[in-house]
Amino acid sequence: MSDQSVIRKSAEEVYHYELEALRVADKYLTPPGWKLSPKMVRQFILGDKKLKIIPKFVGDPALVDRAIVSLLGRQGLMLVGEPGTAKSMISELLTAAITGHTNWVIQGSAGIIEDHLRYGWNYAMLLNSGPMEEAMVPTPILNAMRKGEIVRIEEITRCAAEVQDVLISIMSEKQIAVPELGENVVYRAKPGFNIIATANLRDRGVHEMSSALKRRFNFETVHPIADLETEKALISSQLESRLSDQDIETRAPDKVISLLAEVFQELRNSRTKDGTPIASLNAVMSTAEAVNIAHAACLEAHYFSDGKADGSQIAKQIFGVVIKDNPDDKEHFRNYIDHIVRERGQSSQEWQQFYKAAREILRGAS
Amino acid sequence: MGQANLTADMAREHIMGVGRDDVVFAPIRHHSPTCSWMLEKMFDEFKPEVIMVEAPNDFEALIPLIQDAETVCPVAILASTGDKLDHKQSHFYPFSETSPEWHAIRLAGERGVDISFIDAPSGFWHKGEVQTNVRNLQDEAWFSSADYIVEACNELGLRDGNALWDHLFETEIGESDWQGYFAKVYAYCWALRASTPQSQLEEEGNLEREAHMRGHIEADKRRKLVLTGGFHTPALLEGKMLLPNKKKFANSQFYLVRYGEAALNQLSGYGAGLRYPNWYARLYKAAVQADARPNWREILFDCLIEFKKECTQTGLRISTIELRELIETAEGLARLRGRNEVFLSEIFDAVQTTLIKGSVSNDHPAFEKLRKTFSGHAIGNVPRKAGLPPLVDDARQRSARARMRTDTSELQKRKLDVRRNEGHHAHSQFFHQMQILGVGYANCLAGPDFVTGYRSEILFEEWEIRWSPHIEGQLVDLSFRGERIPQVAVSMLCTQLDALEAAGNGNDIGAIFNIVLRALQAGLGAQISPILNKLHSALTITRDVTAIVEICSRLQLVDSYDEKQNIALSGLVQVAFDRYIALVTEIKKLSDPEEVRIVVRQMGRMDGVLRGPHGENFRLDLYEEAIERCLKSTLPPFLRSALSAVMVRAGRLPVETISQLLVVNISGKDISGSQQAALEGLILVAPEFLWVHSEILDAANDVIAMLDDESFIAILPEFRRAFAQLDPHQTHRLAEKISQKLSVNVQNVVSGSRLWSEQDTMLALKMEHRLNQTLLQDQLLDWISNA
Repeated sequence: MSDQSVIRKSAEEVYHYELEALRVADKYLTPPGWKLSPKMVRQFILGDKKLKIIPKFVGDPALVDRAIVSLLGRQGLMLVGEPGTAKSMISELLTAAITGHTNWVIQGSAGIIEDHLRYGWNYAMLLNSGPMEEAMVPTPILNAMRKGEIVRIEEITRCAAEVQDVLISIMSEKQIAVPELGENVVYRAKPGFNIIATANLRDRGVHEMSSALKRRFNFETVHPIADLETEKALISSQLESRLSDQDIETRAPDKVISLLAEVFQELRNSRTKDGTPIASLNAVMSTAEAVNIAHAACLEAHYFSDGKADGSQIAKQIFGVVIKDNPDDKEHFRNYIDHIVRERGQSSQEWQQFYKAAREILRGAS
Repeated sequence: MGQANLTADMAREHIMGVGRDDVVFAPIRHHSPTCSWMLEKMFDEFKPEVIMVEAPNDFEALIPLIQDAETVCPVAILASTGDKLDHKQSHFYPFSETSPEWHAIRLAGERGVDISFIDAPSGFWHKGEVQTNVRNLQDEAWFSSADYIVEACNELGLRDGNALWDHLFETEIGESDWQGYFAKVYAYCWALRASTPQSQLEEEGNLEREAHMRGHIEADKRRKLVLTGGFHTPALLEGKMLLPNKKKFANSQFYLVRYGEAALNQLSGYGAGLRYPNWYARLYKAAVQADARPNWREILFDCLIEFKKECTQTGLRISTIELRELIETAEGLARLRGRNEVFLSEIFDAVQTTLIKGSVSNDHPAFEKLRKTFSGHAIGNVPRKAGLPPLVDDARQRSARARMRTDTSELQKRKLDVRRNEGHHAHSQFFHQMQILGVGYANCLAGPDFVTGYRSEILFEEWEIRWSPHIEGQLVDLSFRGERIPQVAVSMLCTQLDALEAAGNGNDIGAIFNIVLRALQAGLGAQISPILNKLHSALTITRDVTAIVEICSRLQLVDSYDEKQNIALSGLVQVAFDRYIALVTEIKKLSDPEEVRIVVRQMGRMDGVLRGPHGENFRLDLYEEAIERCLKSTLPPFLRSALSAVMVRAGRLPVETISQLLVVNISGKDISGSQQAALEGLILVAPEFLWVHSEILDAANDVIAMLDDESFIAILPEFRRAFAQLDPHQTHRLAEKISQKLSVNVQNVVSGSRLWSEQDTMLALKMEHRLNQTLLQDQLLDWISNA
């Protein structure tokens, strides 16, 4: 059911018309359980001018190819990478295109237990009527298996290793036995079932995952956007989408977005655009964070200022991203401001605004 | 070439000579197996009297060698162009198992058909600028960079121009429609050419070369098959012609040399031909074996089995299940890209997603193994009569004597006992010579380094050795310096000396000496008389006493292990020492205290050298006489003490001399210098006197004890400066001695007063700072200073 008043719509809702257009135009072989052929799934994610499908993933198209082929096979798909590199977005888009909906999802955390992966019980019914199918609460995995659909597990490495290993037998056997219902009660996965998992390389990483589980997944690393213009375009488009949803007219000028994208690229790569090495930060400088900063800057400009987002709002918002866990980052950022930004501020109004505001904040934070 | 569009029929017409029946054109991509396959079909049907190949015309002299049965691919024609000794450039024209040119030449030989090379002579490629990379004469950079290639890749979901080429053209191997095939290649290349600006064509020399080729084509009236890079074919149908040999080009010497699959792969990185020759060779062999379309799955399977074996050797195990998954993923990717044939990009992608668990990077061992599997590392063969450039032959023979292989580009390791094994010593010298040549053959991982003096005491040298066709190319370039490795190494060292002169450092004895040491390490001591002469003359005029002492010190190290090269060295030692003595005797004329201090410090160092191994090489008597003469003149206490210490050590003066000097100086009776001067002079030259000769310490202690508090406090900072010249070990020795003498705990002597803790000291410093600040603010600082 689509609700116009929600904060965030699902991918299948946002791209409903595109998915429909692809279904109509699809003349290729569709694998069992899939709603679209692999080629159309690819076009949904990478774009198609003829069918007016907008590109949704900015990165190596071969990654999308490999992800699709992995989901066709017996292996699951594990998307790994730094935070904010669009792993969840890719996982959602693939699921929306292949399955037609994105309802089957498990959010990994320390609180996840085996029952969240296999099945649970409605204890009231269980006590009242004994073990029966109606009393069983199927998990998203079980539902996906029974229907031959894709299930997503976000941040799988946040689950305890013993809980993760429940997936080993599920991935190998492609079945879940429910002995409580009888010794022969086994739910076998229908064609089309598969798992897409995501893992963050910064937190407890994939090195803690058991090798047995790793062997059951094909891995894809999603890298941050390398090209400055591409990142800038992405920030602009995402910002536009957010501000439009909120009916806010304030926009960040192109030069301000450029500044933001440049700062992020340089701090992320530990190198200025002309190749000068700079001290690396521990903070994650992802495109998602950049979009958040641009959004927050525009909101600040809209509600607290004259409605014009400039370099100073960017500086105010960026501080919270840069200075997180590691106190060294503050000094490295200070050096960046004093040496790189200051010089640029001499020939650019936006950089000058950024520099002054950043200096002010650093002074206050000393 | 004037059309705006090209249809399929027009493309066919063009390759068939546009209505002519005496010529057909085979537009190819260098090293393409399918082009080679189709060429044979074309040859069999067209039956030419001559095959014309896009290769430098002067290379025709090597055709018999290329056609020789002993010649096995990969091989290359290596050309060294240029007239001036220092402007030589090297160029490669490689042949792989899948080169259409190679097949054309061999086919012509087998079928008794003439073969002709129609490109401009190799000297055409000689450019004025300094060459930084070896040049591949089969440049095909446009196959990856043209705009329409990028568009086509995006449209078809392919990674780059190479993947596009494979997708469109290599999938047709085993088919028989050569006309259709070459028409498609022609159309592809026609579009590439159409998108290239005319100015670029001219700048890169393509127009002139094509005019040469047309000249040859039109001059030969026989039935001909013209085989050229596809980019040139459209230009050969019409346009300006140049008759051959009308223009003078740079001189060129060329040889047919063995080449390597690894080098072919690397050379293709310069934008020429297809990379990963081993993969394409497999494709070709499979098609020839089947005499039809190959079994792609079998090729994939064989490749992955070899890859698995490569990985197993380095501990990277791949299970059968993983192998199956690899194959399925590769085939799935090919199908997604619209074909059944699996090519390289699908295999690389499948390896990435299936085998690499975790974050991926381009230098992951699995990729390295895969690249190695597909590149191959075989080296071809040429007949003995091909001859070798003399220097290459010499290098090969010396390598063989050192038991290093030159038929592979694999890395080889060698450990040499350079001090105890004469054979090893000779091999070491050869490796050092090759290092001087700078061709990348030898790399010393560990061993005594006489240039820097580092680890000169260790016995073994460890080397990494690698032979490659590139090394052969570089040796050809160096051939103008000589025909033997030692000769060329000496020439290189002389060039380094000339470079010092040109940079205005012709008398930098340190730099010249480093060149000498490199030569000695390489066993060239007997051949470097010009360099030794230069060092000799620079030593006689230098004022750099630090460098002289350094040279004397290092010469001992070399001397101790290679007596055969001593001939020139002993003379050198004497010259250096003579100059040292001269500088020491001039010390009293020096006005800059810091300069004096430097010379005295070096005197202390030199004393160590004179007392070290081979100290007998030095004429100590001359030295001592010179110092004796100095001591007869009036000297400040610092110098007198230092020079006296040398003489006491030599046994020419009694120990009391030092004691008396210290007493007179510290007591303040000698006003010609500060009260710590004699002590400092002693410490710089012979610090051990303070704990070895108790009378010196006693004398110093007694005279210090007699000072009143005020005088003592006044000279304390200077004493601290003098004692600061001691290293921690020496400080501890002295402290022990003092503690014994005064019957106190040595810790109390070393760590200072217990009245003040570190925190007290910090507090006192802070108070002093604040006091100064306050005085400054109140403008009372001058008043305090003057009070």
